[in-house]
Amino acid sequence: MPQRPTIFPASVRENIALGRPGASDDEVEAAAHRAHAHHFITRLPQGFETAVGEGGHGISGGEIQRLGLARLFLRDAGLLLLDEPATHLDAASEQYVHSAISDLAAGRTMIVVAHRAAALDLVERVIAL
Amino acid sequence: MKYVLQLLKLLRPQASSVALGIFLSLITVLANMGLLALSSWFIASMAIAGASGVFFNYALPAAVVRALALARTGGRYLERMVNHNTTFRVLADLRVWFYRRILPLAPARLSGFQSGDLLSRIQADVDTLDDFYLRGLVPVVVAFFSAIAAVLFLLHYSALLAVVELGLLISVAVLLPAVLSRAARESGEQLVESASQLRSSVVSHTTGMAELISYGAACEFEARIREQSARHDRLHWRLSRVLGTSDALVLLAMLLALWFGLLVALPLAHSGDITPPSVALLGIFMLSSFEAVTPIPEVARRFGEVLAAAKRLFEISGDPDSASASRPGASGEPEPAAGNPPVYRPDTEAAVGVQFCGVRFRYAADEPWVYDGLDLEIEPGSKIAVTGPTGTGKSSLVNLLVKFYQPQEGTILVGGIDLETLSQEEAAAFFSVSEQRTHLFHTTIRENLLLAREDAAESELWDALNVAQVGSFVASLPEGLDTIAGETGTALSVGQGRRIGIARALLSRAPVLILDEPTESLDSRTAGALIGSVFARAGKRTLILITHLTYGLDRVDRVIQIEEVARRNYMM
Repeated sequence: MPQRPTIFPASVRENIALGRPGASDDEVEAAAHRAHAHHFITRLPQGFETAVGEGGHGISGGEIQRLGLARLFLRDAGLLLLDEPATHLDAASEQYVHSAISDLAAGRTMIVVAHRAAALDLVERVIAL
Repeated sequence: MKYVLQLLKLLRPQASSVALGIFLSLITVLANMGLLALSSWFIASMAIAGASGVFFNYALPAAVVRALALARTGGRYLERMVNHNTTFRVLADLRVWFYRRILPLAPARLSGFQSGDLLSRIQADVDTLDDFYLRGLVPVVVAFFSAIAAVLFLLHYSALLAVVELGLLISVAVLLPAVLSRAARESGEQLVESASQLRSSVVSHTTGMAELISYGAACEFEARIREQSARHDRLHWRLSRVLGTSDALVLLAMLLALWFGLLVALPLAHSGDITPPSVALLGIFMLSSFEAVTPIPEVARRFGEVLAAAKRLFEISGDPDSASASRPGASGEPEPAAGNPPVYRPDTEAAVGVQFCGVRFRYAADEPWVYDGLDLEIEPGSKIAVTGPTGTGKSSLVNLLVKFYQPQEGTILVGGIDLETLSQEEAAAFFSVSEQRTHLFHTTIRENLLLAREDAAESELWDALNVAQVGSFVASLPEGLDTIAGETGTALSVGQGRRIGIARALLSRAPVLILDEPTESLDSRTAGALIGSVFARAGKRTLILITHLTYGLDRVDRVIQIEEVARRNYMM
């Protein structure tokens, strides 16, 4: 997941489904749930069908980050690379994102690039460059 | 209709050029009608005179033909010159006006649009608007008056011909567009819309390429772009069909006019009511009188696109009237109108305070109040921090202070002056703002910095960069200050761009310095150093630090929790 996941001009559902093209609606919603994104998505005007990205409904930095994480949950890969997953977020969003990442990390190899100490709780080993 | 009025308002500063342009166009069209009709009469007369050996005075008609030919050519030349010049001036005004309005695009206004394609979209939309004058207003007015002239002229010969002419002109200029314009406007709007969709898909496909590939979704996304592209083609095709039909019908009407002209004129000539050469004159006159109305169906069609573009521009920018105060003159410089007070320039030496009294503000009537009775006093020269969770109106303070938005109620005093009495430019001169999302222009870092203070010396630039903790980074770039920054420039990270923005804000001499989230995306050591040097640098200036982080909170005179001051208890 890059510093700022790209949000494509499409519905929230399609944006998450990019993580695994062909995923079912239930799988997409489950992934959103695990990424703590479900709550804000259901409050959007058309829920999962709300158009986001260019020309669509605006969503905040924390929400973008959580959509990015939902993609990763759906992707279900064994190796995760996260670049500054919670940098641009306020404390509340950061907490959501961190708890989603801890969930996601279970049973997977994860490399987190971060400059803030808060991210260090997520990992077993810190490499200072 | 509302948008047409708003567009007309934008033409107002160019009213005299507009009138001249329309007048010249009308002269040109009338000269052409006269030229063709008179020449055909002249040629027919000469032929008859030659055949019968009668003496014929050809000097006068020949002179008139020559005069009309000159009027047509000269008129066309002058008309093109005046109208294009006017168009460019209108466009320049529009761009400047729009740019000023768009610059602050606060999150509230942007929620429906995201910034990526905004610029290209605005540019395309503004370009589309040049059609409003040159290919909208001018042809419509010219067609109207030349049609009246044509009908009056024919009435002189035959009432029947005048009625037929009127009927055919109305069919081309009114009925045909009315029938086709719905279809054309729909396609026009859909076409603009689909172009914008296609553009943003391609842009996000390119910017998000790495992610798409890593998720294995690139092919699927390409298929979508192909689909959108096919839809765009289909819309184009549909529009072309409508246009082709329209062109064919206009041609049909013209030839019908010629045919009717001959049909009515021949018996008249036979019975001796008109001379034989007048048959040629009437037929050709009717044919040529369509020159002015021929562009009308096309105008009606383009109008769909113009309206769609205008609608979107006004949606983003608001009513043009509300900006007229800060509207620049044609020269691009603000015009200090005679009698108006001189532009107020804040004294850069004295410290300036800011006061909010009972300010109520929201971005739109259907949105909740951001401030429902905000009371806040910031002492001259004080250093304060404004904090609060996301969405409680921290950045809205900036929007109000620099007059990007106006509060619905209450007063804001800056250095004791009511902000209401200052123009946006005057208000903005008090403040130096580093925004949360710094916009670096696509030019060198040096040029970006000089925007804040044109006469800054090289050493001052470096000094500001060092205070903003980005000096050593810029120094490490191969081209240093001359590195191109901005969207397609060298890859500056978000944090580096932001710090260059802070350096830019520091360079300005404005008495109030506002830093919106300066330490975001910085590591703690850099953030601490940045805050330290900014405070040392601020001196007597008033400093407003907007932040959700804790850096610098220990150094300010006062920490303001925005949500605590934003709402006065209204006891009704």
